[in-house]
Amino acid sequence: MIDLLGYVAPASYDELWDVLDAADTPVVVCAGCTDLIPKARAGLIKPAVWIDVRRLAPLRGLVLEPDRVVIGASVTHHEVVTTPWIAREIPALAAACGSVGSRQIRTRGTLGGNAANASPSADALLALNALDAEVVLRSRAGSRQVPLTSFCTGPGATVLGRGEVIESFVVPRRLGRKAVFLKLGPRQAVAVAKVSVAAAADVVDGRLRDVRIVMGSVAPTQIRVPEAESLVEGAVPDDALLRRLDEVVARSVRPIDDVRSTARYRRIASGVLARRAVASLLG
Amino acid sequence: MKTVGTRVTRQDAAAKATGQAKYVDDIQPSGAIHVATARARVPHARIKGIDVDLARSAPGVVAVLTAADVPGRNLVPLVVNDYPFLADGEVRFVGQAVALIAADTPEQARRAAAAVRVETEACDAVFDAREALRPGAPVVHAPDNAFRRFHVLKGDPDGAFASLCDVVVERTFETDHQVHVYLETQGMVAEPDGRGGVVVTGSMQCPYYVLSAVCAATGLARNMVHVVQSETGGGFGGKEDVPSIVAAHAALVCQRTGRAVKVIYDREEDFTSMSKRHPGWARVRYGATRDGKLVACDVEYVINGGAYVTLSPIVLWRGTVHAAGPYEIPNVRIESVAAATNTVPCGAFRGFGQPQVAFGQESCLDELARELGMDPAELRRRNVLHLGSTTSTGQEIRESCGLSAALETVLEASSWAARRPSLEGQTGTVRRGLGVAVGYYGVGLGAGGKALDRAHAFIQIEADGSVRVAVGTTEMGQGARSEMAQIAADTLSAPLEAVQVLTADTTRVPDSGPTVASRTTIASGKAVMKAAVPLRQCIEGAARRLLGGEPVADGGMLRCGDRSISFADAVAACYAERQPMSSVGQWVSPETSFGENGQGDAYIVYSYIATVAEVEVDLELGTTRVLDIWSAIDVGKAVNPDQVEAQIEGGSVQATGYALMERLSLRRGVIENPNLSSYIIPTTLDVPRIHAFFVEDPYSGGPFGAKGFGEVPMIGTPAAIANAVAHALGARPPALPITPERVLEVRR
Amino acid sequence: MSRLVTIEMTVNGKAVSLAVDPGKTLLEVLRQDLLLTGTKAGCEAGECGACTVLLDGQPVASCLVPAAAAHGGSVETVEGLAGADGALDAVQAALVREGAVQCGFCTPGIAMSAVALLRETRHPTEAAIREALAGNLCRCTGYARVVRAVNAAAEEVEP
Repeated sequence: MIDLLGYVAPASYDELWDVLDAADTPVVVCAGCTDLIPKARAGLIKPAVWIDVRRLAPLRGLVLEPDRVVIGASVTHHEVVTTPWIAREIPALAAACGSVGSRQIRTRGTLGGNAANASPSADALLALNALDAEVVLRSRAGSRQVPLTSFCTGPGATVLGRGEVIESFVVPRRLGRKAVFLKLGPRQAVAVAKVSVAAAADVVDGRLRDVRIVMGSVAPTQIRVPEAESLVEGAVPDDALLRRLDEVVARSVRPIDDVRSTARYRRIASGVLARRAVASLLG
Repeated sequence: MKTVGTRVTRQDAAAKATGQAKYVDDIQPSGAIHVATARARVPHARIKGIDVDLARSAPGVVAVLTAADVPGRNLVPLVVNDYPFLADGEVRFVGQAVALIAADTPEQARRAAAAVRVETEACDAVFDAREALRPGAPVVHAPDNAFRRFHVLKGDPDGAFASLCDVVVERTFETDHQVHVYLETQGMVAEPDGRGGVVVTGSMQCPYYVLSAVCAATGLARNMVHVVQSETGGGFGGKEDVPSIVAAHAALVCQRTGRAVKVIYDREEDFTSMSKRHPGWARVRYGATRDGKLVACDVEYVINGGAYVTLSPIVLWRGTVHAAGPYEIPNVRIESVAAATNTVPCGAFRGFGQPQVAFGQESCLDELARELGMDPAELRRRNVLHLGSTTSTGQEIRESCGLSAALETVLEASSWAARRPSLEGQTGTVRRGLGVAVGYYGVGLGAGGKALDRAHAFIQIEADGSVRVAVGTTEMGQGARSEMAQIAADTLSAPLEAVQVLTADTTRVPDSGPTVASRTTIASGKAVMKAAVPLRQCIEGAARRLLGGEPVADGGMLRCGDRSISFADAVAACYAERQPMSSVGQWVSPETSFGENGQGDAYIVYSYIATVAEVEVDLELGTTRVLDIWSAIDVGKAVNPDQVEAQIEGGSVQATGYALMERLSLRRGVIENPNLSSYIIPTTLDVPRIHAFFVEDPYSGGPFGAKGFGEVPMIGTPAAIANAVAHALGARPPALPITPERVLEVRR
Repeated sequence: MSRLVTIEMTVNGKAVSLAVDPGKTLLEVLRQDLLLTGTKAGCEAGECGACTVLLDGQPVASCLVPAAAAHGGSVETVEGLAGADGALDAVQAALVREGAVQCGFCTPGIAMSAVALLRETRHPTEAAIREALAGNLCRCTGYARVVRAVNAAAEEVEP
């Protein structure tokens, strides 16, 4: 059992704001709880009232619009994996969500939770970052939309203000754009990434245009590697260029030693994974 | 019709599949109090004081116990009794139990446990085994941190290395801890029996060890303590000795409070405080003549026993006896030592001291093959033990040696002769490798555990022809219950469905010795057969009289010509004649010895394994996938072929984890990954295709020729995987687990 | 001191109403309040799958589900699989027959994951079976017979 002061599930934004305003106790916004419960058990979350936002309609949508995809914060990884038009439209996100934990975790875990937990090893977050997603944040005062790449400020830290919740992710639709997600864990499944990469680009006449390369698990936040992106921008990536890309990425990341791996290994693997990801954009 | 040798569906499977089987945490005695354990946070210290006032006055707390509150002897009875149930004046490892806090709910107990203040004066600590053995190292176990040493000397290895060998290869290898990760964590329930005694129920392999421990701690007589094994969710050796501690804790609180008590460890606590596989270090040297005949072997083997002796002397002994590998070698020296360090005490884990050194010597042998320019399978063929060979301890193999057959089986099944050369000259960043390893395993406790190597069994045939079989060895998933039922049924000529093997309950079943060392098949199996003999004679006698001729057993029927009666009818006749329908059987191990220079018949018989593994290694990322494992075990006689395959399948996956991914990370005695998200075991997607085979070279001393073999997969298979990786890499990983990080280091 | 929350849900088809501490997980409520001990606690961190139950037909790690989150939902546990006459369901029977049950501690969780899979996919490939069960750790069997059993159960389920 964990130390909860209460558990409420508001049905509308008005109810949510009322609960947030009225609370004279700490509050925690929750959805799938798959990251929160282990943290609470470890004593990392003070006793609080947990506010389950899954009933809020604006957080549940999964909508294909002409120029963008809107994914609600409480959409689960399993929902993403099993929605056919996502597999067609943004396969990298389907791959990323499909790599989260186990089937049991994917049933409950949400994209909003993945972002709010702000782990550099987050899977769905990495794919969304490479896809130029923006995140819609809602409070009683209104809403704001920020690039997802500036949403996380450090491990476990985000720009979410008090009284603010993640409403949805907005992913621009770009005809013909390619994206890929690669994850390296300590085993084939149910693993936290040691190193991960998500890459995206338009492929025009065999050249990469408007490249994104985002690395996970190798810095306090998920990071783009601008030097690597410039290196292959407009280029036909042959073996020699890909090797240079490998070196640039390996140099640019800031991995640490921890219980899962070593900085030295992560540095090498970052280069390899980034090279493979960019190579796969082409074919 | 006999059931031994046929595939039999386990009787206990249905209750497990429906969730009806009762594991210890499923037992919920009304009014039970719950115990949490306050544990040491420093690796080595003198205890100046334990302040329990805050804990005692915390909400819901019923009792707080420390070493001072142990009425009996505060030492776990095992080999050398040095491990206190509760720390007394000294702490020797992080996670050591210091105080027990009992409260109305588990949360209250945990909160109160956090409020226990232990005042300590830090002592110097040592964590590495070889460092602990150097002069001047902090003393964990007086005087020199050596729990035990062994020495084996056969022939003249120095002379042989000097003048008889054309090629000599020497390498050093290391292995890390391995964690059992039984799915069910440790737990015990203790209840007063209303007559001054205590009933202890829980997850365990050895009810009679638990009985001894509870009596030691509480001071109660053995006939006042009643120990019952609940359905046990996995053991692998991890529930051999440490349940004694959990049980004693529960019993002490029960005795103090008069309440029913539950102690259930959560996963992190289990990781932190319970036993592990010993980390190992081995320096192995092989010498051979040009034609590939092994002439000499020299092994130095060190294991890290952790803070207390526990089973280290026996783990070391088994590893020592087998350290040169299953080969005919005329000159052998083995020097071994188990060292004390300020880390969690290690204990029994499937293979029991052999997997560590087997990895070392099978890897070194492959290096020898390379130096000789010889195929590693052929090198093994030329040297493996066969009938008439003598082992490192000078024991002549007189019967039941199916190693060559096992080796040929896997070499053929894997198409070794064609595959291995076809993998030469690979380019590309993903490479395949094929590796082979062989192993042997002395079945039973051997000369190192003689005093315990006996078994008793009771059989009682009820008036309706149903049968109860009672043995003190236990079911922990390996199928022991089912196997005993088969042996009893066939020996009695009873229908299998009529036979029930009793839950291990010390008031109902005799002491058959511990459920370890793959000994259950022989020890308990033979005891059951002995108990069955007089009963079968009675029943056949009754059948003879009723049928008017010699009865022939056929399933549950006894036939003579065209007349037949059921087993149950024959039993009824015995009852009517007032014949005794219950019986005792005893088995005592045949003689074993381990004399001067470690020479003697160390074990009564050996089981053998040969494994070929095929792997695929990504050279850039260092990741390894095991694609196929072909593994053959000489089991003497397969009592239930399904179960032989099941042990090979499960054991091969556990071996895959040990070889590639299971790494316990310790820093200054603190386990940094005490959980399943960072101590990695294989999932469904991490396992190879497993091709399981068995060979039957019967052992005259085993039931129907059977030997035990449950541990053998951990001996041959990690080494085969390591050899396959080395083949793919063209470089030799010197340590397990062969993580991607280590592969990249090896390649540099 | 926490205020109790009221949870109304169905468990194995039966309506249940409980007032519990909001900090209780679904696993704890099942095992302690409803005495349905078939679902097991193996790690309480969502890593081992021994606590798998179906919530609204989908497999979840019940150790990571606040009991309050199950309010209004339908929960299925291993106790609900066998028929009223005690006959094992297809998955349970196949696990038993194929020798896929050793210590049995992972078995209820595996059964629930497999049942959920077979409802979604009539004849899953071996890869799909392994993917669906990747969150159910087993230390005894090596998974080979478990996968065979789920495959066998799939063949039996009526079209």
